[in-house]
Amino acid sequence: MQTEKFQYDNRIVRNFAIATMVFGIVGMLVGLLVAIQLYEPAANLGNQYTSFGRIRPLHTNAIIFAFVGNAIFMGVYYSLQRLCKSRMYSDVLSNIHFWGWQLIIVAAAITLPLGLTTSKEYAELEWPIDIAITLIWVVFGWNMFGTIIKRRERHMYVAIWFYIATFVTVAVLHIVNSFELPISLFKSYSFYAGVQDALVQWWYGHNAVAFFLTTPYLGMMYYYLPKAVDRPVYSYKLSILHFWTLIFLYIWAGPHHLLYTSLPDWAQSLGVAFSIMLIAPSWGGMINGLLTLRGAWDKVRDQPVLKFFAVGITAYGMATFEGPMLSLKNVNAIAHFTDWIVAHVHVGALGWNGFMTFGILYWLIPRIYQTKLHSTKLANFHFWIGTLGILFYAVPMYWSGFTQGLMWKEFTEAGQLKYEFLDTTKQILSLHVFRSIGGTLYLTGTIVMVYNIVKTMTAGKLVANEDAEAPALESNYAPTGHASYWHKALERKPMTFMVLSIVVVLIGGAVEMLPTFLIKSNIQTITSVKPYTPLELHGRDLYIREGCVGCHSQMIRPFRSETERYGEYSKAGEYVYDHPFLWGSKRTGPDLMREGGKYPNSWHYNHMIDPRTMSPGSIMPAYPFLAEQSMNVSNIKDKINAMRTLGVPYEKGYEERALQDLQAQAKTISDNLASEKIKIESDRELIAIIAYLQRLGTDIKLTNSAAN
Amino acid sequence: MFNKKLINKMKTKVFLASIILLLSNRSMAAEAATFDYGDFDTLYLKVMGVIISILILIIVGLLYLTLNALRRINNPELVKADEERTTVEKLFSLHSLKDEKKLLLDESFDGIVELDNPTPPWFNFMFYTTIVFAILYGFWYHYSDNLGKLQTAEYEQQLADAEVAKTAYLKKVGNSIDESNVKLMTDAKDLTAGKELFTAKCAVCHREDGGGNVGPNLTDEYWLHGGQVSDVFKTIKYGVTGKGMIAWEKSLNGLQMAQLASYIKSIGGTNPPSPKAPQGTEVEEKSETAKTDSTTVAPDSLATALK
Repeated sequence: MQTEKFQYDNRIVRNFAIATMVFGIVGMLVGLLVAIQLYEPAANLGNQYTSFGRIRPLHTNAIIFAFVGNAIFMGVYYSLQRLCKSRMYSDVLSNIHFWGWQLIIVAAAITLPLGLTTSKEYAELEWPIDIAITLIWVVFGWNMFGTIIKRRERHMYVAIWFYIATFVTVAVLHIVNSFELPISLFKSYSFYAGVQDALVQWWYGHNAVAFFLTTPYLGMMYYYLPKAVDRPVYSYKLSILHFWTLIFLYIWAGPHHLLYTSLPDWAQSLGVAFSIMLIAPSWGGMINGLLTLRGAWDKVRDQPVLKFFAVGITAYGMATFEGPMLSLKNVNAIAHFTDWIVAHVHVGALGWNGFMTFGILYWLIPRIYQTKLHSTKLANFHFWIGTLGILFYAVPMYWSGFTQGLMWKEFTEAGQLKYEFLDTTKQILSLHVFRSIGGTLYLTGTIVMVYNIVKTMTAGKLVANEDAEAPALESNYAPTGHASYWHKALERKPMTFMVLSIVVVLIGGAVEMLPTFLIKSNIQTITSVKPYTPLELHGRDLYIREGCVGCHSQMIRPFRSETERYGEYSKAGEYVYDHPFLWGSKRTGPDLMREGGKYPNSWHYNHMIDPRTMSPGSIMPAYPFLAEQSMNVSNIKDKINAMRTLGVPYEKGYEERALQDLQAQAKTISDNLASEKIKIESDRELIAIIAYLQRLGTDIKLTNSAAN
Repeated sequence: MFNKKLINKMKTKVFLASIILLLSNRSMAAEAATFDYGDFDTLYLKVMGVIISILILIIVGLLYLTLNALRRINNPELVKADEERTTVEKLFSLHSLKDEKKLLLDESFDGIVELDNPTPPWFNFMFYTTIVFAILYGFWYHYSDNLGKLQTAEYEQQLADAEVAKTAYLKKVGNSIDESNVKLMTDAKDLTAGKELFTAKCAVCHREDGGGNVGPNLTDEYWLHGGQVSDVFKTIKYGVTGKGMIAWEKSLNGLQMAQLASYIKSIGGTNPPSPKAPQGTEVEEKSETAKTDSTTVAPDSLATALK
């Protein structure tokens, strides 16, 4: 047997590690800032670029795609080379991947504060960046499969299965959810509308959690955990079972983000049923991880790396049990739209993704620098302050979510709502303070880690190209013994494996989406629902730009407590012209579905200039700049045309009259404000926002009073 | 000799398990008997539902343990294999660490080896349970006639239940002031209560002193929707949709709205500094008894319209 000599590329691993640490700090700092804004509106820093609506997506994107994304690539590039006994397929592709990804992150960091956003959660980036993500993702996949194909190891280890599933599914999710019609370089409208857009978005959102935050980390767990603890993986059979069931079942569960909404009942029930069935496959990963630690718990006591892994895996187990519980309709009725969900995702993000990443960094950096970790003491300190941080974060948020969820639903004996929305906001402010303390502790730990790692790096020297050797695979191979097990055959065929996982993953999405798109009865049309006027459409775009959807839902669920507070519950047919949908997923402020006509224009004017004049105690950011900036209506024609292309029935030639209509409607609003002694030019952005808010939900009110 | 001792141990286990089974059944039956379902609110029932499901799961688990123990009594070999394992290992159906070498698979990936452990039986049990749950869930909501209520039906039920509870309550307390019977209140106690409500709810739009801001001046003799106490009451109750006056009937009760209307009437003529310009028509203060034919406020909020 011919032994071949080759070198592992450690420099690319190091580069991704540095990016992970830099963007981890940045993402957490922005997170801390938005957390403070939720009890101290002055923390919006008095300018539009740092207001909550614009930088909350910056926080989520930075953590998911910059911090976790880079950590995935770091972990995959190190382990894949060693599991395939081969250098990465192409250094050029590795470098394009690295720099391309960092450029995408920088583009996100610039465009999001500028308000360039599609408003779809975790998919906020505008279309040119979407295309760049697709290209770079293909580069990653190409490089990965190239490496797998030229491997010197007969079978693909379980970690690689998870990497493959990650690659193919994220590609499918990203492309399908990013279907959008551009109207300019940085503005596009979602291809889907209303209920359909919601279904696609949460199919994406839920599975971004599954295939960006979960499967790559499970793959990494299967490599780094047994390496660090030096124990055999507990069960190969469990790996097979939980891998295939996990990727098959996960895809179906998206609708649990849309319980009690206008999504058809059957789709909601599928979401619930499949979420419950997800418990075991998710726990399969935790069980296999924790049982791998069996017989080595004494090592866990001594080694910070293993401590991070043990808590990380436990956090994964808690979050994946809580998820299915939150999918039960009666639990969801209380938890949805509250801080409970925020607590839930942070147990996953801080515990699972954060701690696994830290463990991998502490394990891997000393190895590629051929030295010892600078300080085990500091790493232990990081572990404890990080764990405390998670507790201080999660406990107040659970408390806050539960409190607010119950307060929203409370009635007096006389059958009236007990609390106004603002009462419930004020009630939880102190808990938000505690949450930001938890975040500070966690961030402190991360900073200590970066110091520790940098000291380690300067003490050692990077082995950029690590020598290795392995025999080449023989071409005439006949499986014997254990290798003749049925699943081993799949493990020898990467392409078949990839195709099979795509098929398994596509089933759930197809079953839920196709009927929603093709069967008319799923979304009943309402004749009184009309397209937005040009001014309202422009206002809607500003609503999207300011990220209002981050705090305000437009989805009244069929609960007595919601219809009493907000008005008639939402109907699917009301959203048919909403490209994109703006249902929201969090109610930091009240629902705005039927805001139209509730207050006079002057109330909105005062409220936008300084929310606290009209709602004392409100934590909404102030928007005085909207009264200073004039609307950019130069592309109103393109907007009308684009909407018509997407199926909104503006009559032929309407685009020519759109500007005129827009100005006329703006004039009526500024005249109305003038009669209330408020002087504002009719071309200001604030006028468009008011027009949009006054339209919200009024279409079916009109029907009902007309019918009366 | 050794086996006998073990068998005795097993028998004790079976006995204990049966006792627990019996007890749990009894307590459940007792609780069920004292239930008067009509009086409990749904949240309580749901919590009970969860507790009962957990109890059922525990019972199933105990049954399993019982059967297992019985099987072992009849099979000494199983008992012997058991003896070599720790309690935790038995609990989680794990092989002894000493046996691990037999389970090692012969392939190694960068030094990582895997064990050929079967998937733990309790894991499979959990998985099958969730699958059964999922199937039952679908049946419950979509293939049975009366079991699970989908969201619209659930909502309608909620409204109906609330209406019954509300009527019963109002009957009990006799608090049924509405626009047809509201009287101007002059007691200091009522006016203070009205003032507090005014400060909390109305001042942001009508100003602390009632001089008007976003909403009209309430201290002059001009009224947009009628100036009698019953008119003011009605305006508060139903709001003026389209002009920005909120309908308060969802958050204030009849007494509170009467106190508020009376307080508003009491600040008439106080002439606060820099008031909002008069709006609406002038209303003669003295005509309190003779009702003016002012336009009635249309209760056109959607909820009312739907009734």
